[in-house]
Amino acid sequence: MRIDVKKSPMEKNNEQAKLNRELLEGKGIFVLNLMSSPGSGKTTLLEKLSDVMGKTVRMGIIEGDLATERDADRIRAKGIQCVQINTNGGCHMDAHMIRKVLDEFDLDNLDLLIIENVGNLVCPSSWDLGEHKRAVVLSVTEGADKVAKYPTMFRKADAVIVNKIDLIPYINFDINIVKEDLFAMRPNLDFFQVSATTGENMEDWCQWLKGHLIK
Amino acid sequence: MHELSVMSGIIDVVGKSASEHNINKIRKVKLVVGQMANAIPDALMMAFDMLKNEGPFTEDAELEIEFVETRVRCNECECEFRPESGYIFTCPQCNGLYTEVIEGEQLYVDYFEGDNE
Repeated sequence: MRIDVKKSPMEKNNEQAKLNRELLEGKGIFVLNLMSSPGSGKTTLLEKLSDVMGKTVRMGIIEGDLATERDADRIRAKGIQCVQINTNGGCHMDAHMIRKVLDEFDLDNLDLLIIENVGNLVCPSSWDLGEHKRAVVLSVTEGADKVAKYPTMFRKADAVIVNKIDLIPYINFDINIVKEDLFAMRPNLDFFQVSATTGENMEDWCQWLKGHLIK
Repeated sequence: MHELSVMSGIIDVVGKSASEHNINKIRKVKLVVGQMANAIPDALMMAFDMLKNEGPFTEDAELEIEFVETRVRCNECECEFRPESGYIFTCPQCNGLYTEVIEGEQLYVDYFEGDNE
């Protein structure tokens, strides 16, 4: 006997992601899914973000890593609500993991929730977590060829943040290659060039985030 | 490498549908996997062999995968094309940048075959 199914194994995740989005939207919270390779500086970027707008925007952060609370400790040290998810070896986070930790936040007093995904330039792009926008961080030390090599991640990004631009004078990195590849696959992308360490251009991407807040 | 978790989702979907149809011996599963679905057919095959004993599958149950290459449509001139090297999405006819992926992102269970024994 042959049974037609025509069903995606991602359906369960996508349904939960939709519920997450509805719940958070109902509370007036804008949700960003922040993705990149390991070591691109996502956590440093969020530390700097906390310095720039932690006092004016009520924000919460979910940290995803295979192991340890180290990232969450860094964010909490900035006075920001933060919950750590450990995937115990898993290469991405899914919508159910996010739902499980949402109750640990004071959702009635939050405007912005940032999910720092597991460092990985492939798998996280397949999993909707219930976010409104996706941002991908690319650090200059990874090389200018990464956009073309990992198209599924960049094709779905709403914003790309090139980080560690203070290091460009010391390495061989052509930002024009990144721009050409990016805009050829995502012409209406928002593009930022920052250094989370020196704080250069951090205002630009903070403004972008503020512009998307719901309330 | 998340083919294992994708496969465990597939086995869930198939197992549920099988129990709705009173099927307890599944001999074959057919999947459709797009080039941009972030799931490699060989790794899915391996994951299926590892996980099939968790569902109502026969020992020699087989997995068939239909691999779908990426196809893109240009929103400006409406021409359809296969992106060069899999990632250049610019329209080869009018150089338009506003293009849409129409095939290659899908990942779903097409059908399965089995019996009630």
